[in-house]
Amino acid sequence: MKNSSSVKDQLKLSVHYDYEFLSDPHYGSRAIPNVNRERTDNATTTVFASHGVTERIGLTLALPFRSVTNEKVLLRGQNHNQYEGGKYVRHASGLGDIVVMLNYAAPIAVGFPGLNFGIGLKLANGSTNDKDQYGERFSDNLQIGSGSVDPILALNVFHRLKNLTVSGGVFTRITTRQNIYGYKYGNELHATFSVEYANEGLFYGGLSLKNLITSRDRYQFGQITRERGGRWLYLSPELGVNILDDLSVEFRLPVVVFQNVNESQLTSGYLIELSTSYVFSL
Amino acid sequence: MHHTGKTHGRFVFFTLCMFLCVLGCSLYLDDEEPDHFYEFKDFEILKLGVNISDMVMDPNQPFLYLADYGNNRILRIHIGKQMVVEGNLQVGSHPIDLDITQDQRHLVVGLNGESNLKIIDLSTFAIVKTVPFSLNDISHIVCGTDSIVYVSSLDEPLLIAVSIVDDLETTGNVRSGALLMNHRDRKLFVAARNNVLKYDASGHFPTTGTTSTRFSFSARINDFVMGPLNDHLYLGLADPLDRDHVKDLWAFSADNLTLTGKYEIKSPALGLALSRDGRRLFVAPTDADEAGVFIVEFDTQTKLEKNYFLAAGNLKERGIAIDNNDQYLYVAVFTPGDDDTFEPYNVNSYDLQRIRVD
Repeated sequence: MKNSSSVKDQLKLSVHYDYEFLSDPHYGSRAIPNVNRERTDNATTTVFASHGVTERIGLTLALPFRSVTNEKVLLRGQNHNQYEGGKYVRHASGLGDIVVMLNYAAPIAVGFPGLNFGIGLKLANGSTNDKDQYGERFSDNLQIGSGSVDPILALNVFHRLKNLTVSGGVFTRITTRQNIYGYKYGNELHATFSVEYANEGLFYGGLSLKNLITSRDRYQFGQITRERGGRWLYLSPELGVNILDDLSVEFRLPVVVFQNVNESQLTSGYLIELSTSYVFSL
Repeated sequence: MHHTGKTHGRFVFFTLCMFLCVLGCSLYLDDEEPDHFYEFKDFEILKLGVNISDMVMDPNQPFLYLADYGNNRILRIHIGKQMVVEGNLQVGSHPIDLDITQDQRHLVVGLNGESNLKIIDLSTFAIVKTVPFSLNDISHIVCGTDSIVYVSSLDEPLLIAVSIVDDLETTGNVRSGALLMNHRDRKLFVAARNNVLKYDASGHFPTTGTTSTRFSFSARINDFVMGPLNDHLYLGLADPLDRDHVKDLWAFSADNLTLTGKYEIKSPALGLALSRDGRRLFVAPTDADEAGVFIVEFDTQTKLEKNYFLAAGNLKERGIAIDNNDQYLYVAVFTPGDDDTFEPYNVNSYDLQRIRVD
């Protein structure tokens, strides 16, 4: 989000919506047939609240409301509750894992880039127990919660050149333990490099390159999973509109330019991201 | 001085960016890999949308013949660089079983909906003869020696022998079931519902049966094949009441009908195909696993699973064949849609998939 860092005595409320339609199976970086005609709709609406406690320290709370719907056509024998096969839908929705972050903006020396640090926690409040139509809990990767409290670290470097802001950053979530079902998500690392142009006008925009790496999940208290984890590279154009002085709307379209997934996984060629933010002066 | 500060600033900035990139690319890589048992490849499929009841390979030409049960046809598929339907022939009501005559000149079609055999010339792909017989609801046929075709029925307990030269029919005390013929030793094998029987077929009608009574079962026979050296018989068995009791593939010695192996696939075998040297046994299972339906390859020496080949959908009884070079498997596959449609005939709509196995 534009102006994502907290400013003292201001409360910024943001709503961020992202949508992903996973329907193209890949094996490594190669497209493969979709045997079960499987697809997953992933939609998340996240409410961010950022408050600048001091000039340099801010607090951010993220409340993600998630909706995950997976549909596929079962083949004979794939599900003992539906032996002859047919359409099979799994759906989970609700409040996902809440994230709390503490941000610190380092003092900027003349000619030096700005530096922001973030440290936080991803809580374990999201449900990990959603069930299918037969009352059986479905797989962890379709649950809206992870079931573990995990640390989050972020580092962002930016440099302003008149109307141009060049920035780079990393964001990581490190999974500390498995959930009650013995499932442990892999670690996640986002590395982003972006260029954004903004003047006093109505519109602003930018382009960013994001490298996402996730390691494999573990199940049954330590067994390594198949078909989880991989590497993705997104190129993401961004267009924003300053509707009012304190209100902006942004649209991003991260397009996958490279992906290499572990074994076979459903992928999507793009994501849709919409966000809006409003700043309250306290 | 100010200029120097700016230069330093940019240097620090780009160094940090580089550091972040390296960090992003080198961390979080897995140091442990799971075992990989199969590989995904693109499917090669010939769209047919028909109910395939049997398939047989032409021994001398690059053709595969499919019995199209619902449309009363035999389809002739050219299996060159691509699979192409080269012809179709109306043969009569519900073709159920196919076999090639011993001289490799004719295809014999057993019809389930009428009491006739159709004889097709393989060089011209034309019906050259219709042979009537007195059995109803036949399920299996096999070409014997001297122009004899053995015919077996689901309803009748006994088998008949029909001469396709003079249309003469002979009956006797031979059980009905799935049929196989050892032309070299003139032996007829019958897989009945509870055991395997072996008859001497050197005369006009099979005689003197040997049975596998000590190794009996209670099952429906989905497929029945013999090794190329005529030494082993393989049975794809299924529980007749679908209670999941029978999930193994059974092998018998063709010599004395003793049990020579249980091939464990945990799903009833629908179809079987053997490589020319008899080392590789390909099994089409009834059930899919989490990732899809896999044709399972067994090593007949170790009797253990060796390879897995992903099929595009549900498989079919007797819906598997291997070409004469052991290069490709041909399987009947039904890829189900969402089944939420009222459109009729949207089931039993099989296509032909080719899978490279060499």
